[in-house]
Amino acid sequence: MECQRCPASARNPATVESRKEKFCDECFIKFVSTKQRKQMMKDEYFRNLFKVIYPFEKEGSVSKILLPLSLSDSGSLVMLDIVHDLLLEQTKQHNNRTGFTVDVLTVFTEENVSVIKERMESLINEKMSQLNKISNIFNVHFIDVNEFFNNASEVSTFIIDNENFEIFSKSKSVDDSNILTLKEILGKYCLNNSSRSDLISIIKTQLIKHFAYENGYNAIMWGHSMTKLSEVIISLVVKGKGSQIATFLDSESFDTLNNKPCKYKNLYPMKDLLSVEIESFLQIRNLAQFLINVEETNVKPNCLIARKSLPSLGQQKLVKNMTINEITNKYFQDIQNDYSNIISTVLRTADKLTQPKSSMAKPSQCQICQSKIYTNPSNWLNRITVTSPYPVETTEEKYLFKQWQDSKLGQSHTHYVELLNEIKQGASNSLDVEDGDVKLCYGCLILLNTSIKDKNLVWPKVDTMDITANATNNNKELSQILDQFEINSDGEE
Amino acid sequence: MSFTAPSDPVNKPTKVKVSQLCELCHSRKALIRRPKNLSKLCKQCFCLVFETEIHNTIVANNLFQRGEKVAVGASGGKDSTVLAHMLKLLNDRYDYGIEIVLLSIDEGIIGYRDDSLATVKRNQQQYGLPLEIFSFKDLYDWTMDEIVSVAGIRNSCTYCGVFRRQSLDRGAAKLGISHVVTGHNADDMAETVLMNILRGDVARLEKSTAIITQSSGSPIKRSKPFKYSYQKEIVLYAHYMKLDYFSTECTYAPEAFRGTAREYMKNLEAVRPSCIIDIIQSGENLALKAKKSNARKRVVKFVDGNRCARCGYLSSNNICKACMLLEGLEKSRAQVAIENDTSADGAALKLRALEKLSF
Ligand code: SF4
Ligand SMILES: [Zn+2]
Ligand SMILES: [Zn+2]
Repeated sequence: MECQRCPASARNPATVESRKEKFCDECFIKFVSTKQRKQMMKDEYFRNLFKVIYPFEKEGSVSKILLPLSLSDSGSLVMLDIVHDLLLEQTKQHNNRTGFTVDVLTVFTEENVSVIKERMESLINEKMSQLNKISNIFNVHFIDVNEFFNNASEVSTFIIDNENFEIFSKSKSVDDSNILTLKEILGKYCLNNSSRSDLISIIKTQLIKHFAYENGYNAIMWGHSMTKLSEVIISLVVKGKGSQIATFLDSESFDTLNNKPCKYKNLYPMKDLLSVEIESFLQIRNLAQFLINVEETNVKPNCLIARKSLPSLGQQKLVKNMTINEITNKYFQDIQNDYSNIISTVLRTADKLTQPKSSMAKPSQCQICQSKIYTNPSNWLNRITVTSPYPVETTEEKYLFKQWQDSKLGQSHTHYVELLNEIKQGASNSLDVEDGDVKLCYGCLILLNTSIKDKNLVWPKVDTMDITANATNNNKELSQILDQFEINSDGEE
Repeated sequence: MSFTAPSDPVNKPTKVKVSQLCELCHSRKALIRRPKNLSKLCKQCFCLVFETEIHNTIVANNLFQRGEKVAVGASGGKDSTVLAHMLKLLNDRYDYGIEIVLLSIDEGIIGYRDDSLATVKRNQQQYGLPLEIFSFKDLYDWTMDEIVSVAGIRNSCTYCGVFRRQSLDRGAAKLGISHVVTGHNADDMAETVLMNILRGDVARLEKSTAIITQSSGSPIKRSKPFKYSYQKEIVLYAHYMKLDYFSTECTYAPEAFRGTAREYMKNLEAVRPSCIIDIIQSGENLALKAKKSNARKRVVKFVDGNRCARCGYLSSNNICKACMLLEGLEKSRAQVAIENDTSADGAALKLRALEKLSF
């Protein structure tokens, strides 16, 4: 078997087969890189961001790109590898100049901080040392996921009324004694893995976007493959967040954060690549060693001709313990053979979506996930769910009802009822609560209502996070807000 | 001793613990966890809540007009049986002032539809509602069994769907009815939303969750009062109400791809039972970018009675979809008749027999 892309005179043996075509290593790398670069040049805005503009002295000639890197996600690592090569290429062609600088941002948790830093260091040293020598083109930042909680001065408690699905909230200020942590949120509030992964993903996304906002980046490059994007799209639909798909995929408009316009656009340079292609790239380039949470024996499905390993079918998770995204991932894997174009179809379809018409009196944003709200979720749910009982009739029923009333349950001593009453009361007393304010999107309302203990969640108030409107010269504040340290050309440590 | 025999509740002291009581009335023992949101309910509360939700849907969407004659597309299956029962019940309880007729289509599937129609006939007696049956054979001179024998089992639902849709319209029109109510439930609706995205069916994306539809060219309005009702709850309700329905699946099982979507939804439900209404909520909020003007075109109401050149049925094209399918079928029939002379009747039965053999 020979590569179908090599020149006819010198065909290398094929090592990869994808989209009914055979590639050698080299041609496959080129194929993947080209797909990524094509997305990076998708319109004028991005073309101008990435190309080298003369003269350099002109303000804004070098754009700032934020690249969130997750070491448990192959997509962002492969993307970084390709971007790195592009930067190297530009330095060679333009005398150590590049059209853009890249800031890699990695969010870590208490559990994985040491392994992340260790892997990142070897990644920089082994793969990116050349570029790393040229200062200011390439920086690495880390954020503790708990910074999301640390830098808000107020938190709100949201609770869902189980009778009419109304959302009540109460805010309080944060002091050292009551700072939230991710661990607490996941352990104390979440009833299942799906809600855990949803909240983690909201927090990470918010952190990354805040970082981009504050530092005046021009674009965030997300590492989602076509496969991953399709999974997210379907998962959004499943979670009642279908209205958010268009905004999520939008790379034409500048983002907004907490109602404020941002200077960056979101870009998905890997959106033309399947996850099997990304995994193959990873293997060929020997990048898998830098990933975390990936056992060597469990190589992900790829399209290498000599598959290094097949996905292990053993020890499958129980469905009940899976997250919605994992179930969706499994569904795509199961149907991939019989219905191969599903993944591209989903993405193509989603790209045709736009924001739905809003039926809200005034624009509202979800105070948990920050997405726009288009319909009042409580009203919608209330319209289709009845919560009033069948009358109490017989003597026995009356007797039981009395028993219930006399019991702890009936006297409203449950934690939930107490909390609900407390917050409701607080809401009616406080003057700064605007009536008719819709606080949560449908998806977050459902999350609280079904997957969070006692239907209540404490969450940082985004508008009390220490973010300055002008992000160009706020480095001092930034360093207070974010535990950020750079591994740069001077070789830290 | 955990078992207590059913007894007269007035005299015997009760064994129900407070924690076992229904979460709504707190006065009867909870019998089920409601599939929609897992709340623990007694039978009475469940049935009342289920009925009232459907009533609310009907009122909120203004589905019925007083004096309107409404046909229930009745197949004998659980959805349409519960629907017929429900509409009669709600019409009496809330005085909608509508006149209900059962309208059945006999697709001609031996071993399936003949049995389910027997159920509809019993329902007619039970509910005291008029029943009208129209058959594919009478309307098109084809039974589904015959269609499958020439067009193959793979496309059965395509033919069946187009012909049934038109048959319901024709049937309703003959009875002077302009509103057909069908038993499509929340699960069907959610499945359709997912399928439209998975298959990239952009044309249907936006209106896939509409509760009232009127296909271009059809004078007949259709509505789905069970839009937000979980299939499992329909089954539970039928069980508690002791409704008589036919539960065998069609011999020509649904297409394989739909089956995969169903399996996927089953897994999702295990993790988040609300996912079915969540998908519908998403579906109601999918909007397409305004690009080409053909999105507009569909909105334009059928104006001035274009009719199918062949059958005279209202159609936006020169020849309606059913006639186009029929044309293809006639061609194949001619061919099959030459090649193979066995009767097509009972193709389903034959297939079933073959399936059994292979085990
Ligand atoms: S499963 Fe298909 S063939 Fe059978 S009744 Fe339904 S639509 Fe017709
Ligand atoms: Zn939200
Ligand atoms: Zn009850």
